[in-house]
Amino acid sequence: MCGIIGYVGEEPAQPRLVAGLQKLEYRGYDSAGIALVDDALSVSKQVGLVADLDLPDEAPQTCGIGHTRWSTHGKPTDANAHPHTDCSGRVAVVHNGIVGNYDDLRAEMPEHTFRSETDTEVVAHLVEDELERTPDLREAVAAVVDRIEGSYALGVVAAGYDGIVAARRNSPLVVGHGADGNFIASDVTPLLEHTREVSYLEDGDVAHLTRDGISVWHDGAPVDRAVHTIQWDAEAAEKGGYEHYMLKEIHEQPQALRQAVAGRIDPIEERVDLDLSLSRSFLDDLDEIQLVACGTSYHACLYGKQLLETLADVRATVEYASEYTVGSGRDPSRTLVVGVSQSGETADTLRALRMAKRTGIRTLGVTNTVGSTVARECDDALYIQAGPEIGVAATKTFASQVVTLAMLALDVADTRGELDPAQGRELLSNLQDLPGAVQQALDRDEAVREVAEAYAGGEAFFFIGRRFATPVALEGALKLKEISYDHAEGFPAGELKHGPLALVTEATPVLAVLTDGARPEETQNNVKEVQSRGAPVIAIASESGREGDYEVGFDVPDLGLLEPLAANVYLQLFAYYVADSKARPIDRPRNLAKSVTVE
Amino acid sequence: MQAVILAAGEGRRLGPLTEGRPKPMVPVGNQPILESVLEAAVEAGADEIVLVVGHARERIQSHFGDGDEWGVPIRYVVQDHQLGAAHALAQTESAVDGPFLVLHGDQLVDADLLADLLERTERATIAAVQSDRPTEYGAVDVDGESVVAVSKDPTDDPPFLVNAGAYVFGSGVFDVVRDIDPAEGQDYGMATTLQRLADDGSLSAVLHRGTWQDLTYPWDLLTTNAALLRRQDDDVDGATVHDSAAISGDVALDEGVTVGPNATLLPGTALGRNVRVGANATLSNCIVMAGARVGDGAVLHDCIVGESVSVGPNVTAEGGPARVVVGDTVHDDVGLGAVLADRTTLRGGVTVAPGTVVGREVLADCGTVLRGRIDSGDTIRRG
Repeated sequence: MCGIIGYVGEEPAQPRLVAGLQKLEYRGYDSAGIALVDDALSVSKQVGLVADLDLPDEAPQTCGIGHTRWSTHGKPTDANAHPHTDCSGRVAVVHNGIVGNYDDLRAEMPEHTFRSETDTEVVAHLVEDELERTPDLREAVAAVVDRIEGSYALGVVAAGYDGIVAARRNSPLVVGHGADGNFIASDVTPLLEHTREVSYLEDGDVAHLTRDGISVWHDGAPVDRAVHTIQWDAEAAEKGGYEHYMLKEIHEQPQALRQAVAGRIDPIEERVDLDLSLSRSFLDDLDEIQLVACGTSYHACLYGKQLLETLADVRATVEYASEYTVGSGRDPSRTLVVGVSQSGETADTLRALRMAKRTGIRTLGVTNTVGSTVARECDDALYIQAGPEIGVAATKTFASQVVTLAMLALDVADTRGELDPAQGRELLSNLQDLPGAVQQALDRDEAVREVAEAYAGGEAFFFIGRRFATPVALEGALKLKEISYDHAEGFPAGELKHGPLALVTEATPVLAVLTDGARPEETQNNVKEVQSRGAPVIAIASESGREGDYEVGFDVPDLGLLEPLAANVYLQLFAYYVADSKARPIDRPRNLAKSVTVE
Repeated sequence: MQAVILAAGEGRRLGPLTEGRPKPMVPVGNQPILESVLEAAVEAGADEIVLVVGHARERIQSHFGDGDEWGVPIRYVVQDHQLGAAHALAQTESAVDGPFLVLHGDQLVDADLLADLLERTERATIAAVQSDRPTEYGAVDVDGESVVAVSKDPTDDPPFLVNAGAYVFGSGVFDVVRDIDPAEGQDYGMATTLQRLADDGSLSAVLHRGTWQDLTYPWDLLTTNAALLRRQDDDVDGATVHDSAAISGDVALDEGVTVGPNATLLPGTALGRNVRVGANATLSNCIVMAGARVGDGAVLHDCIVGESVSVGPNVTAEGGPARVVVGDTVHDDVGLGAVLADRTTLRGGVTVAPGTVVGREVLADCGTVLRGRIDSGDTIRRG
């Protein structure tokens, strides 16, 4: 998914394009670019956020287009960022969609020089050719879109030509009628501060925008497209009807988890294929895998460490990225450092990875962001394929990180010849069943809300689990802290009696994860300990832990070592609804940022 | 033009498939009914979709998001209490700018029907089709192009002229709904609103002669699913299929599906995302939803298998015709093997009698025989 924007009018275009692109960043944010046009064309584009774009200080041009990109295939590089230009550097194009026949088109134009690996660039060159036949930019674009197969929302400008030409087929595009100029955009969000009068283009439409007006053409004839007045809160649209991005992202987990394993597991052959470039002999000879990360990603690493040790019989350690030092006694040639970061830009994680690299240790980045700094600087990158995450509190990316590390564990185990076939088969099956188990928890949304509201007044909240449920307990507490500002602590259940039990009272609800992979029968003793101090217990249990006497119980289906990961969904919903009942700004908690790019 | 799609209702006659899932999200032809409705609206020229959601709305919102994938902006209006279709429609008053198209999210329509309808935007208009049985949306009596009466239960003999579930309204419809007074026993069904428009002489009808499928009962889903698969191109690309498996035409396999050695998939079978079919299993005329597992050697004919259902090895559901009771009505000779609702587990060797309806999260022990209706959450043991 990508976002496009365009403005032509009386005011300088650059600030409007930048502000508009920032509102479209929910559609993707791995690279961005802007083209400004008058008698000449000036393009600025690069990998990174819109805010990091290197833009001219003075930009008087009053016409331009912009783009923000989210790569799913191919790398985000400066060259691949939009806008794309033709050979002469006079035509610029932004595009959302797929040019299906770009290989064929490109083959037909051997005299043109292509500078990127994108399908979009061919459009710029086609426009260049057409402009030799017609002096009218709209006619040129109309002729070009006739040759394109696939889907597109296009914005085109050219030096010396007035205005912007836009076209769409099967990708969203709106035009906005403003008082001091006209706009194109992927959706209405960036337009609202300028105008509420919009028209939706239909498939096959080609529109020409100038500062004075908008004309729309279809099959070579002018047509009228109705002007709508937007009466609603546009931010709500991006959230797909949810109150907050966080709730949307919690509910996206089944989809994200299917995406994480898509094309990577072959259940008939009982194998995973992660397409790693790290050599098999290197993985075979490893002494140790060090996982480094911060925050939620650190918790995912704690889960991953146990999976690696259980399946692949390799020593795995987890370090906070900010605390990481290479340490002594390690053979750099037999050590792999895995850096886990959703954004791929976390400063602490980058610092740790660079430190490891300097000593000759090989590095693997696990991230959600194709082409991020972590992905580029590591020897190899593994993507969690969760799609953009906007809520500051990470939810779906935690689940996708754990699933990705589970596949890594299977792959390393297989490579090292350590994979127990029965264990491998079970985990593969669990990975495929996980989306359904998560859905089961999501279907209890309303029940979790009632419980969260009933217990929201607690003085503090404690989260306990063992083994694979320990990272989930830590993560559950972190979510609650982040968004409700309540005091919450997670710890291994066995640690209760070594100190934290002193804090437990009837006003401190305890959330316990009692599932397979978490030694539930032992944790049940801890449940009794806290209950005898009067604390209410909210248990997330699977069959093995269900036989207890809890104040509240939620079910997790059979899912082997991944049961705690399914249980975590209840904790996410619990944190969300506690915070919501306190009317916290859930998507933007105080003092926190989505991607921490300072050490 | 804007299209309002009513997708807040529950669809009780498809229970237990609609426990935790709105009826519009039940898959037919390997995609939710609502997705087909929305695509038809877009094909007919809708440039903005207003979705009225309520029951289990997260399912709908997570699937459709902001509408990007369909190239159309979607906004959501929440109906907190499901009082009826007209009440749902009334929630959209501030969101639409008439005239606008109104569709039911659980009633398939084709773009041709909508194109016919959209030729009449000057007054309130309803699409009508011929049907052998009365439907949920009522029957209509017409005089020329005007509708004179709308009734829930027609008194004539079949065939009936029924409401196809597609309308064009102007903003005047909101005044009509506002006048409905539940305190006086008036209901918020669509029929009441249509009747009032008819009484005012301001409702037209467009007769549609193309195909139209009613999806009231579970077996309707199978019939329509098979019909849609027959019309679609076979799509098996995203699946992993063992070389020795036999896949006939009119079968749809979604992404992540795996089909084991010697398994046989016969016409009318649609497998949702990540469905796994074991070795030697045979399926014909089945809807299998995402994440379900069909064990080695299982035989399923005319079945609807819910999400994450686990069908053990050698389970047999021989298929219809069968007698099925829905509510207090007995339906004879219907083509229904079984309904297995979400997350139910049938262990090895379970035999399922034709027409059996099994609720959600049922556990049937190995070798048991299931028949009739089994409530959600039950455990069936041999005894």
